[in-house]
Amino acid sequence: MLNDVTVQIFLLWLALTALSILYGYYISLHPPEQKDNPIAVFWGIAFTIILLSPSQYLAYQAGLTLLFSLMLPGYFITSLGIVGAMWSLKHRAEEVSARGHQILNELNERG
Amino acid sequence: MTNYLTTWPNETIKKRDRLLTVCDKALTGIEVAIDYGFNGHRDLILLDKAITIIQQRLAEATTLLSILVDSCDQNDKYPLWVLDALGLRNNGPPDAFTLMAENEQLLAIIKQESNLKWRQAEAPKKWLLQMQTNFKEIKAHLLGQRWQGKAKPPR
Repeated sequence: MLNDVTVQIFLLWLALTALSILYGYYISLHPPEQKDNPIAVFWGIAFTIILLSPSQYLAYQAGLTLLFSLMLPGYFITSLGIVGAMWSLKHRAEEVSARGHQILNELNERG
Repeated sequence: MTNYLTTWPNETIKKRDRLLTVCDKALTGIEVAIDYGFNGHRDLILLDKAITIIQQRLAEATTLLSILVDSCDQNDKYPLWVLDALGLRNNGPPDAFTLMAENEQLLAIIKQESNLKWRQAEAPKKWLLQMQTNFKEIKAHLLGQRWQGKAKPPR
C-alpha cells in the first residue's frame, strides 16, 4: 500500500515528467537551427535528467526501491521521447529543405 | 479597352517580356526562401543560395529596366506603362526604379542579418515578403495594370 511519502514523491515525479514533455513540445514549436540540433538534443536529455533526478533521489533516500525502479522506465522513455522528437523534426526539416534546394538548382540551370 | 502595348515595337515588348521573366525568377527565389528556408528550421545554405539568386536577378532586372526605358525614348513618347514605371504620374504608386532600389536595400539588410545566423527569423521573412510585394508591383507596372481605369498620363 502506498504511504504518504510515496504518493508525494510520485506526484512530484509526475509533475516533473510533465515539465520535461512540455520542454520537448516547446522545442518542437521553436526548432533550433540545423547545426544546433545535437546541442538541443543534449540539453533535452540534460534537462530531463536534472528535472527527474531529485524525485528519484528522494525515492532512493526514502528506501522506496520499488518506486525507484518503477521510475526508471519512464525516466528513459521521456529522454528517448525528446531525442526522438528532435530527430524526427530534423528529418522532416531536411526533407522540406531538399525540395527547396531542388527548385533553386532548377532555377539556376534554366539561367 | 485599347491595348496600347500592341502599338509599341515588338523589340520593346520582347525586352519587357525578358524583364518579366527575370522578375519571375527573382520571385521564385524569394518564394523558396520564404517557404523552405524557414520551415521546421532555418536552412542557412538554402537561404544563402536563394539570396544569391535573388541578388543576381535583381541586378539583371535593374539593368534590363534601364535598357528598356532608354530604348522606349522615341520623340519623347513612351508607352503608358513606362511613364508609370518612371513615376511620372502624379500621386501614382512608387515607380519601378524606386521599388528596385528598395529591394536592393532590403537585400543588403537581409544579407547583413544572415551573418547574424538569422536568430530572429521573423524579421528576414518580413523583408522577403516586402521584396515579393515590390517585385509583384514592378510586374504590374510592366504589364500596364496600374493604368487601367485611372488618370491619363501627363502630356
